[in-house]
Amino acid sequence: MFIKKFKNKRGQTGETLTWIIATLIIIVILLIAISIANFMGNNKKFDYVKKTDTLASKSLFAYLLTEDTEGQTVYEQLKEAGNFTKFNGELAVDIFKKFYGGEFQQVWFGISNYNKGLMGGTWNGESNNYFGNKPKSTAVGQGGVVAEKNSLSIMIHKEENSIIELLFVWGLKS
Amino acid sequence: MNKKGDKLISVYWFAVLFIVAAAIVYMVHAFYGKPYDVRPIEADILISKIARCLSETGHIKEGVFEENFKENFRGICKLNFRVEDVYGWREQEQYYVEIEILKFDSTESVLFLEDGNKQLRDFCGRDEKNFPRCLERSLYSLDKDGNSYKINLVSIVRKTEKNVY
Repeated sequence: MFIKKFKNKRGQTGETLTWIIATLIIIVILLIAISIANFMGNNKKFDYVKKTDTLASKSLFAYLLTEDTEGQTVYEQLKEAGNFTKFNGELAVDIFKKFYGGEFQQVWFGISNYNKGLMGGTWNGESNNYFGNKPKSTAVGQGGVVAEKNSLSIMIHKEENSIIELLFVWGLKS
Repeated sequence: MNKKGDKLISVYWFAVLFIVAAAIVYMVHAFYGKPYDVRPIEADILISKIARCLSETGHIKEGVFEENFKENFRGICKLNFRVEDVYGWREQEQYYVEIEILKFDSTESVLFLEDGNKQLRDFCGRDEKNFPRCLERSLYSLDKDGNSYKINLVSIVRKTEKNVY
């Protein structure tokens, strides 16, 4: 009788210990979750993807309307020569790289040509002396302003299947 | 286990249930109760609105260089700096804007205009959470004679109480 009672008490002590440890584990897990929620709450950011840039668009328009000493606009020069001249290339660097280079990871400006493929078309950028190669995996769509995640492209029609493109990339590597 | 033990376990389960529920409520409050800081977006919208007011299709709008523009800047650009009547916001303005138009080649200033709470200007370049949000951007534009200009714009939004705490 005494041995039976003793065994029962030992069983109850073991069970109580299990519950105490289980409670402690639950509390620890909850405390960790609370800390994470607190940290995330204090550091949450309103993440938004820019689909247009008013200032860059206005700068681009003004740039294309700028005339050289002979009275020819940059737009006409680009249409005629097909790529940058010293005058409009240096001006483009002074505007787009200096004004917006600090805001975006990459700024590219140049001529892009439409290439039709099996999976739809892509705008392939021509390399130039002032902005180098066009950053990869960013050019999709045609006409107007096209935005992808982490990139913003402002396109101006040059001629059929050819555009003047100002591209800003952030959060992507070329 | 005896009946007394069963009762104790039931109480324990209720206690655990209560603790878990309270923790979930606290976590939801800790995450969703904190505000999103939308001031950078607000400053960006403000700068875009000013840019649209100053330049159109690549050219600086007529009247920008006139004295009347400085005097009636808010009316001409359709800006409204009014805010809610909370945290004493009405006593000190929550916005500041600055426009500087420089000749592109010589960087000679041809127009300087500032409006709003000038004390906020000191916070530009100090990127701390509790400070007002400052945005400085530039654009390129031409006048009607084809002369080139650099337009520097600054917009600052305070509203710390509703965006940080």
